[in-house]
Amino acid sequence: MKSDFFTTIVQLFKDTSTGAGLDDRQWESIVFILRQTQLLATLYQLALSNNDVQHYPLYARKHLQAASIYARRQAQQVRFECLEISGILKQCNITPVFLKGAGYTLSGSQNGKGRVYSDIDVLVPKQELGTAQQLLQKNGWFAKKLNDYDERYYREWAHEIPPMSNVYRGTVIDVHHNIIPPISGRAPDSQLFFNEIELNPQGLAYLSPAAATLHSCIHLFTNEDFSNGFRDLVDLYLLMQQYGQNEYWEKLVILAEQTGFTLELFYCLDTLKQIFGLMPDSPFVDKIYKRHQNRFTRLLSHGLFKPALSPHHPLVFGVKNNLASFLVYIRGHWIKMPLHILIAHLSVKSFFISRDFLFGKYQFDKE
Amino acid sequence: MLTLNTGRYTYRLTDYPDNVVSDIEKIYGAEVINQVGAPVDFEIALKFDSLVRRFFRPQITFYADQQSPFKPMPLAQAYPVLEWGMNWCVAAFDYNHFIIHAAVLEKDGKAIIFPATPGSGKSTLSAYLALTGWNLYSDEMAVVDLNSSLVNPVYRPVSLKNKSIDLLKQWFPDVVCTDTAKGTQKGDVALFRCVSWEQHRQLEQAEVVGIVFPKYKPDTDLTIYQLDKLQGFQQISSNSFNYNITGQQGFETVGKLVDAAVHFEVHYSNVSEVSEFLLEEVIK
Repeated sequence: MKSDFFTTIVQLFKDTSTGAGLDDRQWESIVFILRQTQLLATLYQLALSNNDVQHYPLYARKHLQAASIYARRQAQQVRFECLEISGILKQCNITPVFLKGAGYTLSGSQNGKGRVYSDIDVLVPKQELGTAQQLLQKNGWFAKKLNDYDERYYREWAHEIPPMSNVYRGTVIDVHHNIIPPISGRAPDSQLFFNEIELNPQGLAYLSPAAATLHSCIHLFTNEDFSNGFRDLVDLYLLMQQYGQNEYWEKLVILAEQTGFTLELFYCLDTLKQIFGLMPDSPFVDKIYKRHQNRFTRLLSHGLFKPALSPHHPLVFGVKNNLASFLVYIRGHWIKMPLHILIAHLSVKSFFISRDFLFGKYQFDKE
Repeated sequence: MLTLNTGRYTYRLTDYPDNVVSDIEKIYGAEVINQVGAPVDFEIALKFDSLVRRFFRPQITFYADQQSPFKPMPLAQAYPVLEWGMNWCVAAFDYNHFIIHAAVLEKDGKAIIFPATPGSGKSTLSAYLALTGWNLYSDEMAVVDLNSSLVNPVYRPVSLKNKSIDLLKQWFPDVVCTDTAKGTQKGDVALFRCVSWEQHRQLEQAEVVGIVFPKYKPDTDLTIYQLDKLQGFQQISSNSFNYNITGQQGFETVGKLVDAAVHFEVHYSNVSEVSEFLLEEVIK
């Protein structure tokens, strides 16, 4: 039963016309799962562009449409904030590159339509990081107060500065200088990504489809937290569906080689193959398979990533998924942090988790 | 597990402490409980979150599916928390409607919106009107269609606070209400059943003919101020939960509402005088 809705949902994203054949009872579960994974509006936009949404039952249309109105507002807000941020940073000739959600919206890609975000991610050159931070502060963007442990985490190990939020509008931005924490020892030359930017008509910068795909793929497959994993996987699926031509695969594979993330790309392709049945017809993709496909990597993508990438909703996420997701958590930290730091980090985090379970989440909040 | 039909929105309550069941039955009536099957709009729950807090000064947390929008509250406040949570679901997920923090009462197919400011006596007024022949469309949220600007009836109780609880019981000794939950975020709270399911089922979408801002002022005579459309627009948009989300559609909806309605601010100490004024000047 648990995997049934997962299959149904995957099928919906592959072929939105299947939604017309689902009954209200099935739609209820799908609405709950997609609401939790923030994919209602993404499905709405996809079904709308395929002219399928009008054949859905009223209950489904009602909830999909409501979510899409919220997403429409977010897209509008994101475009506005990107212009603001870009304008502020241009004062010192810094061109921020908008990553992930904001980047998809600016580029107009299908996965950006109906996408919702909790923050705006930007990439700036490392040598400009201090200047960017000061400029943003001067213009009403402030970092939230962190506890001492988190403060140190950002300062010493991270690839970004602590999130800054706008005092008037509450919007949050994450300023990155690399795409993965330097402490992992795998941070690539970020210039490789700056070479891959495109501009929208207003001059706002975002990554090319291939670079955006690779970034999303690296982000997902080095991550320890898969709670938004299914949404990220849908992003990747839609990007590959939309742009999957010869040139795109070539660029994607070459960029993965240059940055040293061919293994992550393999996991991504193999997981998409198993879940969405995606099989790109490209010699470049074959090369990735030839290089990385073996019993161990297959075990990882079948046994670990596939179950952990199911939507994190109790209707589809059971004991097996939880175990996989726990192992992914360990792995994500493992590959990003040296062992002694990892053990210390996990002990601190697990202390807080068990404390909150015993006494309640808010017991120790400073009022 | 039980389901609840509020007319426009349906809920499934999957987890709850025993003490809320009798309140739910009292306020909504057995006829709307477990009346709907799937699909429901929202799956909600009241859960004990922390192991310690199940036994020691017990606290419950409201869940909308996997989300918990509020901090845990004392077990004794479970029922008001459930009602707030049900409102939260509508405000957080229904962007197909323009939603205003307001009471709505209707007579002869004509509706009046009473936008709320805390302490204005809005709920006291709406309970009084609902129990003296008006139809209660809502006490907390006006649910307005984005296209037609008609207002929808929702089957929910009136939430009364502090002194107005005893006042209502004095005026209407037979009224059905919950026990008072003391010391909530909003003070002492009790919920009042001011419409039956049978009555509610007869109600239809209605045109908004008036927008009235009530202000309770002890020991004053009824004073009426006529407001202009600009003031009405400002009040409606600033009391809306989703004016900023609904964007242009929301803007046009407020415009239509404001154009078609008369606008008053009413200072009162006697609710029956307000009722007379509304009948003569707004409903006509």
